[in-house]
Amino acid sequence: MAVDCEAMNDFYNIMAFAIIALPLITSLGFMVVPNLASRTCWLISSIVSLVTFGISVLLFVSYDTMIGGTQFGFTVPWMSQGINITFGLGLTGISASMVLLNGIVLLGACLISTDIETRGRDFYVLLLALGGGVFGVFLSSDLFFFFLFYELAVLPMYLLIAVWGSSTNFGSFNRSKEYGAMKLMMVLVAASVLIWIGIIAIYVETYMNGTPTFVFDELRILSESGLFSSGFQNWVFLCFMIGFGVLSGLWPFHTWSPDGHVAAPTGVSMLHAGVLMKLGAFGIIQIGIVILPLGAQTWMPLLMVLGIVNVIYGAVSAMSQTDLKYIIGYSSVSHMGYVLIGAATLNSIGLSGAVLQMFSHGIMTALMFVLVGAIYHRAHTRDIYVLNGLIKTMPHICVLFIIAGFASLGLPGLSGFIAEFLIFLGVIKISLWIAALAVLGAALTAVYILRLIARTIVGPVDPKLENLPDANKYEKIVSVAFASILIAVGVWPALLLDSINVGISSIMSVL
Amino acid sequence: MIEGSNNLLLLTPEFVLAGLALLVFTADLIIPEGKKEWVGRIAVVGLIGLLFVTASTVMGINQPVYNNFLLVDHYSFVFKMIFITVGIITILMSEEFVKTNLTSQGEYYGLVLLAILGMNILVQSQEFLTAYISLELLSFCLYVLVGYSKFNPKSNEAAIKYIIFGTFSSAILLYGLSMVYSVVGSTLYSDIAQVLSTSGFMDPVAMLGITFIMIGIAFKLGIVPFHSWIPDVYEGAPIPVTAYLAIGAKIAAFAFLARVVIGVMLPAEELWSSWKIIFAILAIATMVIGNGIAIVQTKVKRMLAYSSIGHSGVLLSGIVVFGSTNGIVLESLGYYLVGYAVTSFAVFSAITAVTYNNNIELIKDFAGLSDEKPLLSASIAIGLFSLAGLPLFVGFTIKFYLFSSISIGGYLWLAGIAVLASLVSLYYYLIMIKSMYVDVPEQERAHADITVRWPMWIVIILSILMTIALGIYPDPLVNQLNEISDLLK
Repeated sequence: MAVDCEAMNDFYNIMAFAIIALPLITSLGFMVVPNLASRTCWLISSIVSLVTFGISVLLFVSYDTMIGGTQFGFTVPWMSQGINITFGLGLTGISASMVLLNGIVLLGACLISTDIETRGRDFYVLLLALGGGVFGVFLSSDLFFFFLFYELAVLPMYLLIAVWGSSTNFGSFNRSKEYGAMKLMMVLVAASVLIWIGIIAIYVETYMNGTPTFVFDELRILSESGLFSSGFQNWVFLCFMIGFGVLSGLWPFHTWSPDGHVAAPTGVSMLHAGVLMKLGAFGIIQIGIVILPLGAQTWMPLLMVLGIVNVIYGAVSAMSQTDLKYIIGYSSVSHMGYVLIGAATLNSIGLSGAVLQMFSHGIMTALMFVLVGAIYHRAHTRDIYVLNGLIKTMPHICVLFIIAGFASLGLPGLSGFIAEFLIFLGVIKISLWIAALAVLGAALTAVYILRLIARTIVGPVDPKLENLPDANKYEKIVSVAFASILIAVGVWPALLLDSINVGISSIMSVL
Repeated sequence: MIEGSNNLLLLTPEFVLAGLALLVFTADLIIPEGKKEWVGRIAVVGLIGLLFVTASTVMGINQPVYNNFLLVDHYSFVFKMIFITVGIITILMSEEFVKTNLTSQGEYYGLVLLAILGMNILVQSQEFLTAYISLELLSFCLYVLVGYSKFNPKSNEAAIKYIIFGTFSSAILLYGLSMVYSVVGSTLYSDIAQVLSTSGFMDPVAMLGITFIMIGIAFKLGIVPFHSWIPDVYEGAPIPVTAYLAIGAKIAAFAFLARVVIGVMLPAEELWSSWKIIFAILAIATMVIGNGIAIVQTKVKRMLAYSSIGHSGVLLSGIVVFGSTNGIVLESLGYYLVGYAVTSFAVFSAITAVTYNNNIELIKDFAGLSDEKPLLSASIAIGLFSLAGLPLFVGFTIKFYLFSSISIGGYLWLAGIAVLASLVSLYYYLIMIKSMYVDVPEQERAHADITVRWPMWIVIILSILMTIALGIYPDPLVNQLNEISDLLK
């Protein structure tokens, strides 16, 4: 029996490793093999992402919520001399759902990228590197590899956006894709400078204590034993909060996000808004709060205020945009604000809501980008004053768009409702005013989503748009699947909340 | 007096190398015109043999030679292996360039070999005059190599500038040495250290002498404010020579500086405590100015020159914490140098392949490269991402390791500035990457007449593989380097 158990554990360890290694190895493989057609690369990438999706489901299902903690973990020495780095993986209740999210979105992003014709191979090299990097962030169990994968996930973004992206003409000025790509890359790497400094500071602290380590579990024990003074925690947590916050679109450092998302090709927008922005919030929750609980308590009021500014400011900005993708870009900023205030509550309901919101927003925004990408691909415009009455020409796309929009504005029965409701509950315990503003944010969301639907989907049909085709089969598969997930989670949130709650309760024990 | 002091066998690698250099010069006389690449190939085979000779004769040995003038230890062994490998790669990547552009091809390879000889002796010297002579041997080879493209005015200009600046800095070094000698009465590192470490020792002549010696070395390494020769020389030199300057000569100068700091300054604690502040200030200035000016460059070679100045600043900030950590920093610096070398070769070899038969020098001339020569542009892009410190590549790991060890030494703020500097470097590297991958070329098929031969393919593919492999699996290399950190313990 014990042997069986060990064999099973080995199997899961290999699976956890494979989910990171498979995309990366495929990516390197594409670089080496000459003369690969775009279509072949697409097929291989889709198969690989299907496998990683399968593994992510397997890991998620096999995560035992009765036991909790870190599972499927293993650690091997990596750099045995000097600063002593180990390579370790492990799955917590929170990362289980995040890995699942990335598995889903990566598969979707690969499947719908059928329109990549120029330099298809390079595109998939970078896309898979991005996917592998994100899996690595969620699965690493030590700071060094967490940071390595984090930077790896940022690295391909520049080329993905600048080569395959699209520029937006605003009439009076032009937002080029190169601009969006450069802004995104520089802001994200600048933010990672803060994270880097924070990680090194933590390491130096443990080194001085005679127990140099990067491993989360060991750091957690050291932190509980009071190694990190509150002054130290305060400044390092601030580094983490801003550094990770920037990736989550924290106001006032959010401007890279709409520009970057709009310029990116559809598949990349999906991964970026759907998964990459979650890395930041994941870092704050899983690393910042756990290792530096005192710092978290000091700065959480600030994070909550900034988060609520995110919610309102993002929503108001979305209301005044005329470009479909910019509206969704700003709505991401607004929705990530909910995640941030959920995290800032530091109570179990709020944190659960934040993580559920991460998942729900990931699927929802990815779905929206699929649909907007599909519309743009056909109509060659994203201007909501030009697009009219699309429901007659593209019924499939529009129906799903309405579902995604309703999930976005928090309609009961869809995943967004549960997540935001939990966050409101968590926030009410802290401050009624913030909760009121958060609810106001939801109302504003309803305004811009309904305005969008009224402008573009219903209404008279523009004759120029009359003969456009509806979604192709991959877009149909992906969008229906994503919408089903939104509904499934909305109807049966325990699907995710069970494992999320296990992860959150382990965090709550630190506070 | 000292055991094994005249054991010439310990210098076998140097004798073999000198013999090899002479052999190559002789081969140049025999091999007919048009087949001169075989001179280089003989040199490569010889150097590969020399790797084995070095490993079998001096590995694991720690002995002084010639009354402490030279020290054969693990530190010098590691650096010798690095220099020889750098020499092999440089010669392989030079072949096509030399054939197309240079007259009297055979001597080119001989000079590269003699420069390695200079570097080898430089890292194992324990005495300033020996160090000075080997430094001059290195420099003289480089002066000639920089001006080798003799019908190219830029190459001539660069050579003149390099000679003037180089000899000037050598003279300053020598002047400082004579001042120190006038006080101490010896040129051995250990003797000087002994005098300097007497408490309350504050002889102004000796202090000025030490300062002059440091200025001399800072010139060679390209530390701000002694960096101004680097962009002009790097730009004018034939591009394989630029690579050799930026990689081989820089590592040699750094290894020399580290030896001097360890041998002369560290024992004198009072002196070192003030010097390390100077080093920290210079390191910051070098990182800021190198990376800052690189942003506005329009020529590839000048951009790389300023970026290499920035890297010198990073290396110098590693020296600041000598003495504050128990050796980790030396190990991480060794790893940094190896990582920097393979990464730079990925960049320089591909640029050499692109530019060997045309006049491309502007960053915007690289537009469209990724369409026509995907592997060459991938090599440049991977190299630049690695230099900027992004992961999977060795650049991330070396920076993380070095900055961690700097922070362990108590200089977290210095590491922070270094991280910011590498953020700036990402910006100008991205401009180059944008040019290759995004921009539309002014004329169609601008890079059509590039042919890449097998020696260059070996270099490019090997550099890319090593850039990735050393980033993913550094353990064997770091274990090798671990022993050099004993010097600081």
